[in-house]
Amino acid sequence: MRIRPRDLRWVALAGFAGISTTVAASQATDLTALSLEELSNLQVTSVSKSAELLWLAPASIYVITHDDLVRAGVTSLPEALRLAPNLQVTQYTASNFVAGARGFAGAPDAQNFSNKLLILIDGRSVYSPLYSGVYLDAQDVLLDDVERIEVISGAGATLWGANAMHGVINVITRPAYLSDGVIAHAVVGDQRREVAARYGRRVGDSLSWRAYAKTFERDANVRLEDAPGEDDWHKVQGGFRLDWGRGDGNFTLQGDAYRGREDEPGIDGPRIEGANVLGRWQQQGRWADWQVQAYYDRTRRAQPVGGVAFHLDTGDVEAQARFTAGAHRIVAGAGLRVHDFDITNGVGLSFIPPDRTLVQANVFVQDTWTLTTRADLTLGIKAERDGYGGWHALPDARFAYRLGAATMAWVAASRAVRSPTPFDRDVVERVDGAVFLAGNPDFRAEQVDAVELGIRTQVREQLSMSMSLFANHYDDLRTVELTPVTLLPLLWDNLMRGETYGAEAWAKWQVTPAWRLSPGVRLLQKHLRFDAAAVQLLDENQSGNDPRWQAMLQSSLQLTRALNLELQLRHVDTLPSPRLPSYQELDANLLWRASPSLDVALTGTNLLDRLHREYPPPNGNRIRRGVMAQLRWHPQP
Amino acid sequence: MTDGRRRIQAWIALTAWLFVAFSAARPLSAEAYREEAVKAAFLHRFTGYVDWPAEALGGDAFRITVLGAPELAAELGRVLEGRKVKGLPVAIATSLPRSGPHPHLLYVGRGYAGDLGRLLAQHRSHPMLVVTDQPQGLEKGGAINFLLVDQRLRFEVSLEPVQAAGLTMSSQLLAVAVRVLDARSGTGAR
Repeated sequence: MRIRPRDLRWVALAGFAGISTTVAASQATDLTALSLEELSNLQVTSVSKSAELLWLAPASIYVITHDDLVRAGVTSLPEALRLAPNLQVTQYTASNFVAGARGFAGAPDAQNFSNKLLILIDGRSVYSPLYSGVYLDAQDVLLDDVERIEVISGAGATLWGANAMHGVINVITRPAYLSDGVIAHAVVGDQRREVAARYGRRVGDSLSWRAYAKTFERDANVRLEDAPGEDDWHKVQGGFRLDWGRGDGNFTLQGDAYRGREDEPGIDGPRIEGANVLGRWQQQGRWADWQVQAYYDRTRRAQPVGGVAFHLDTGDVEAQARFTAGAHRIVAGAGLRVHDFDITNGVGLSFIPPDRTLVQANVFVQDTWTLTTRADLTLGIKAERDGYGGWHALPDARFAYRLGAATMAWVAASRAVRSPTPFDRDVVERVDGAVFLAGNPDFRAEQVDAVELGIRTQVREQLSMSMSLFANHYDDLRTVELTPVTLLPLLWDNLMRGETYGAEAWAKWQVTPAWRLSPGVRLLQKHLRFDAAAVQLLDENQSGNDPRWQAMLQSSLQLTRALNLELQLRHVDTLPSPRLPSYQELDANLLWRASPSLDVALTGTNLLDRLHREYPPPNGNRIRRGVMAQLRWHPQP
Repeated sequence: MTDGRRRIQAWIALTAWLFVAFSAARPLSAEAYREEAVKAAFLHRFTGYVDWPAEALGGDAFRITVLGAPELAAELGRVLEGRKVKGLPVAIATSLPRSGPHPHLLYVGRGYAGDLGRLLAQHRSHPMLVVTDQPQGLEKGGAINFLLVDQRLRFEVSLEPVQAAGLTMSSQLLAVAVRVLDARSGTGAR
């Protein structure tokens, strides 16, 4: 690149032009000068209504807004989760992403998965009860219709139930009345092609609906050196949402259906398909606000040719009420979930029995007691029955103190569990016909007692920060053990315990009106130990091959009125066992709002290296640098 | 001139342009405003369309109390800094005084935890404009309640608490409201 001195004059001119538009802009944005009519016609970012409530929540919450998603140019749910500084997202292959919070984000070599984090999409749990964890490849939404993603790190079992040991992710889509009209979205890149379309409309005053369809294909990555990773995949998905409101009540009906094919090195990977439908009634009553919700979810995952195939049907119904009594805000509820599964056993992997009906049930109550205008005390407890009949008490206590209008500090203590699954109790794995690993019918829930200290503050208008420190005590963590005398098969057991300590912190700094920097960092120290009876076949990292720290820096820069450059740099420290060196990667998105109805974006993923690995082989492939162009057309209705 | 120096010059030029450009450009979402900023502007506007009894404005400040919305309180502080309302400097609080003068304007946001109906019943006859952002804010005794309609912030008005507080409200304000609850019938007039 060469710039001659005379070019600098253009630079200076461009600068002055920029300054003169700023003056005009700052006058136009003085809202106090606007009339009532003009104010009524301004479009407001509705996230702040929830943000206002979340600001008051005594928990470590990071919210990814719709605007964040658009500016970052992400096209899938796992990539969207990378925007949250309190999550650890690892890409193993093109289709296999894993998300975790506060450690224990999986050790696939030890057949341990990220099983301590819940994900809900519009109130529907997508946590798999078969192997414990979330199949992120099967979960997708049309990101253009997502209102926000709330990422809550820390134990949340009292409200969300078992398995919310380390956190909860709530993906919340917009109500249909906010998605009027057409969106067409196309992505063309060196490794992915994707098209999506949505249409929504209102019918009269009270009813609105939308429907969408999307499909994509992703190319394979690279395995060892330059051997092909064979992890290409494709998927088709469609869905709808209908919202109907009448006075104080509103009803939502929504559903999705999907089908996909994945490949894995050397073998045909799973075929996935599924569908779900959810209905929710919310009613604002005189004494209480009610919500009743029910959903049905069917999912199927089949390895072709002699492989295992899972069929799972889930039915869930839950009800909750919120009401205020004096200084007490009370929320109480109950739920029932039935998982009915049928597994076609494979040669290597089978379950005995291959079909079961697991019934989960829970009741809970939580009271937020306003002690003074500055202090709240929240006490809650959930009693939950897991699918194997064990009952768990999941209590939680939080104290929040507001220091002035813009700072809040909290302390919390909670207990949560990861409940046993067929993979813990019923699994039988064979190698050359001999049983190599067997489930343990006595396997118990993994348990955590968590304490947390947090503070969130708006230092100035331009700077807000959040920090939390946590200490967790674990008991009954899963280990792999030997059968006495015969040694094989290996058995699951609960013979590890220990502590973790950590911190999460992030900030949003509006450096200038057009430039925002958002740094974030996570630290984790694990001190795990085996019980005396443990054979220690694998080391402590069998419960999760986690980095000790991870940091990210997001920069959102407004180049001109219509042009935005988003950069996201991340550093992930060394994985201990199996070892993977630390790495840095950079994602970038240049967004051009060409017209009110057309966005054009140029997106780069993992730009720093042609190939990089986020998990050691054989489970992790070498992920390729990606470049893509995006076109998003949304004519004003 | 060596290539290295040219490259440095180019970087300086690019950095200078970026610096000027981003310090000058306005936020991308120019058409979407933060809800707090719009609410604060609304509250400021409302005071221009409402008259308080003269004796209520005898103090040394126009007092605003914001409950259950710390971000809005901070925003109001910024917006109204150095401005006067009804000829008085503005004082913003985030709690109701246990004794002493009442606020002229009380705002109760969604984050307010207590029983709104009871709170407002206790303060009914004071010359205080109550603005709420609550489900059924008017039914619980608010004079103006914010609604989010179609990603736009609108408001509804109930005349009964306005009269009970001894305030008068301009018809221009009523004309913009999405719903006006009449003082006598309690039914929607629009």
